[in-house]
Amino acid sequence: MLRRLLGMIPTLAVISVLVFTVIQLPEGDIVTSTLDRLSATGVEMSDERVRNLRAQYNLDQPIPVQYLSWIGNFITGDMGFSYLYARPVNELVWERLGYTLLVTVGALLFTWLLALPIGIYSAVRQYSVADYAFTTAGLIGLATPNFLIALILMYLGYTWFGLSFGGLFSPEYLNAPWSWARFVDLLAHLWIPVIVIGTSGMAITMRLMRANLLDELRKPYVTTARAKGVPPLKLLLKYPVRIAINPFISTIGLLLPALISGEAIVGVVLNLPTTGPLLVQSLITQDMYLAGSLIMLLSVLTVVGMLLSDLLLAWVDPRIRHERA
Amino acid sequence: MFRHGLPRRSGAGLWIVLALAAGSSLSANAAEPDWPAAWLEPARTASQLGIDSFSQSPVLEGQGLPPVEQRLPDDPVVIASLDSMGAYGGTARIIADDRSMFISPEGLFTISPDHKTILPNLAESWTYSDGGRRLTVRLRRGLKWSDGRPLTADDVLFTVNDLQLNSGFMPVTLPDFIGLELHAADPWTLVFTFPEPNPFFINYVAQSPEYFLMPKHYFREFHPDYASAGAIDARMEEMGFSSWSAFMITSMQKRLFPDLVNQPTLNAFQAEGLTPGLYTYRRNPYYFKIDPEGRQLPYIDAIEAQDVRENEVAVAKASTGQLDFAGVRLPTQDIPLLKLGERGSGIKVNIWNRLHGSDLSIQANMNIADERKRALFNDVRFRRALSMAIDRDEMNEIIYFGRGTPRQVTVIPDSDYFEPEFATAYAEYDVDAANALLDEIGLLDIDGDGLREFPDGESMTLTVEYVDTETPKQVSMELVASYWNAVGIDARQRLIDRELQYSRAIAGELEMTVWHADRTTDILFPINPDFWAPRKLAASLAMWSEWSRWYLTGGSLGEEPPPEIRQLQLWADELATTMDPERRVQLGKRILAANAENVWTIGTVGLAPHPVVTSNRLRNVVESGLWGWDIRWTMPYHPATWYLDQ
Repeated sequence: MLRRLLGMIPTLAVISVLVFTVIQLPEGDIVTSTLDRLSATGVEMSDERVRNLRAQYNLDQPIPVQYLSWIGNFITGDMGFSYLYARPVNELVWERLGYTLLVTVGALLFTWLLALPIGIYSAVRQYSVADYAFTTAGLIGLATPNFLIALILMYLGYTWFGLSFGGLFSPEYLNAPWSWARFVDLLAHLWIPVIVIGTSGMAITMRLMRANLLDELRKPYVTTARAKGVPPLKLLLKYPVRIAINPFISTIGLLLPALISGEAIVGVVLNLPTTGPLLVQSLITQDMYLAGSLIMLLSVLTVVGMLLSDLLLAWVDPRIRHERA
Repeated sequence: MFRHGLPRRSGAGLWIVLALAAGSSLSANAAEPDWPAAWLEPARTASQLGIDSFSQSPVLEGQGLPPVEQRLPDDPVVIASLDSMGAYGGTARIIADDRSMFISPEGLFTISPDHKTILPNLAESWTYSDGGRRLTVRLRRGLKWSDGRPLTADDVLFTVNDLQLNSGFMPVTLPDFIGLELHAADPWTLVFTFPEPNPFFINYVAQSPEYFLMPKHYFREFHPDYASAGAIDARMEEMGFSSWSAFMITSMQKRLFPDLVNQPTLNAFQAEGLTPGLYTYRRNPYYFKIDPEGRQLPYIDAIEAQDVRENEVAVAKASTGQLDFAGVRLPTQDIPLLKLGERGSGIKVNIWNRLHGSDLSIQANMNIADERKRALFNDVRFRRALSMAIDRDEMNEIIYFGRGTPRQVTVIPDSDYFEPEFATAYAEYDVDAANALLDEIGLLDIDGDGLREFPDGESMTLTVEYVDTETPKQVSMELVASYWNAVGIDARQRLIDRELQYSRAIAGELEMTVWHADRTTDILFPINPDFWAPRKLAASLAMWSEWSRWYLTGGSLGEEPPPEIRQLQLWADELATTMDPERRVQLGKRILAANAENVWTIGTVGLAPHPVVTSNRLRNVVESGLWGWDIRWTMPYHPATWYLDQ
């Protein structure tokens, strides 16, 4: 356990160097991108001016110095300053994290609550009409680009229920204090991103559950239990399903990085107040600290998430626990 | 109006079919703009019109503010409405990117809807003296910032002398401030002096008001001349900025978008809250304009601007009546879709015209390192052939529903510098002439593959690299490439990143590129004739970067331009300084005539239709106007007089 924790440190150190390098790679930086946006104002994009602005943004120091000052602050919990938003990165991330959590967890629950039972059903009734129907529907969901589903659902939401386009709230509730009505309004909007993000994972979850379960169902212990007269539903849920579900538990850890990047494109289209669009925006404008810190955060969450998954798996599956002991 | 002069195509097929299918008529778009006469002249004041009683929006009652008479300036400015005087109240719904259009910036001067005349605004008058080297500006008395503090000459002095001309803040002075001196004769009189006559300085002040008006009482505590370094450092640390200048630069740049919570403003609306999804604004209780009945403007109490980043979502919101005003994120191609929304969504699609002289400025780099390409691009026959091979009428039909104007890169028709032949020179579709010119140059199809080769038989490919932004560049370039292919020119396209466009354009490394040409009105053309004379290095100007560099460095870097190009620079310099209006027009026309004859850049379709969607409850918005940066989109059309019919 301790070894696992210590092993994370060099991993993250290497990642941080990579992140910083990759962000520095493209031509230009926040200064040229800012000047470019302002070029319509007649602001001269002369070399001198670019150099001056870089000095004011502390971008003229050698790259290693910039790296050390950035990573030093990151370790102490200061993710730097976003030039684009003119605000500290910490504030930007925190004010969006709650909504991101809501959308991501909502989508995961939606996927699992629907896809797992369907997967189980498809395995038990393999090659039935319903199996084919669910598979087809799931694959259509997988094959359709998320943003397209988002646009269609937004349109339907508006024409059927009169919902405003995009966002998690109607305009009148956006800045309102929390109330029952605001909560209802949130639920009325939340289903669109939840379905959109959830659909993309639906087919994979469904098929994976089906395949895992089929493997299990063919094993001798199932036949034995069946011969001994264990009721079919109890048998199914207590043994093969429990084993077939393990791979999903190991992916729970990936939920953490998805908090930052998972719903990026959908978030942009649906205009969600989440962290995904922030990441996209920061990369486009080369807002170095915002982009770097977000990606670094993403990496930390991935590494921590994998650890959590392993722990969770050991807890759920006694065999893993005993192997280690 | 400029619309008179435009060739109007009658066979606007697709457009008409779709518009009729949507159950609407074209009448709205053909309407002659009918501004109130008062908009074209210096705004009258309350005392001139005999207005002696003032009133305010009911929302301001009971807020503990001083009475409206005390908040208004000594003699408030009266603004007439387009159709009718409005009712107070309501919250306008827009998307965040339209906030610069809904909240017009207030400056010392403003721009008339004739798109050429500068009118007084916060300043009540100005005079040039000393042969154009001295500009005296008189501020109105009793103007106030949105926190109630007075606006005086001191604020302008602070912005110009302590920021723009302070090397700690602007190590490299902006070109328009070089050599500028400013002092105040009294708290309401500003005296600008210039080393050279500077007749168009007022255009610059009118068009970029942000660069002259920062509230001193607010910013002085962040400026090292006024506050202790320790106190400033502590504040910067707290706000996360690396230096006071970084903070000030951000503040000044953000003033282009009226976003600054707590920072005092002179605009009709003040930012109130910025959350991830929504920007909110409330009326400025100290706004200095009133309507002809003595009621303080604006009519609208508040604005909610949703942060929408996708054009599709903006179009969907606008077409379903979820926005009161939308423009900047609505592409030309979506006009038919928006028109469908007119049927049941309670909206109106107004067709304005982008002021871009051409939506595309196709540029071949005449300073390119490759010797053969350089010779080719410097051959006027080659540029003319490329231009004449383009079927602009078809582009107009396919991309603009026949509602744009096929033309070269030149100024708009109601400019004083315009001549019809500047727009039409070498713009007629003539494949035979193009082929003849290419044959004459010696570019022949030697190997019989349908494409022309260099005289030595080596294949010739043009590479066009550009950013697909603002105007429909990619769809246009695909058509252009197919027209060029028809005359045997092999043009390959590559979309590149903005940063790459910038760095390669100023380094002279782009072979060919595409941008769009604004600065086509009499507000900006005389100051920045950049598309027509090499005097600037920018992402948008890739055809003659070395000649520009030579000009900017006084000949120490870059390449000396040939005489006809040098002449452009000299004419542009004189245009900016001459005080003789006739000479001015003569010089401007010479520059444009030389460009028309030499086709240094190639235009396609200009004055393109731009959809501006208004909800049926938003009143007083002009049905057609010019859309673009030169006039700050809506500045001449008085957004403060817009109101919501509840």
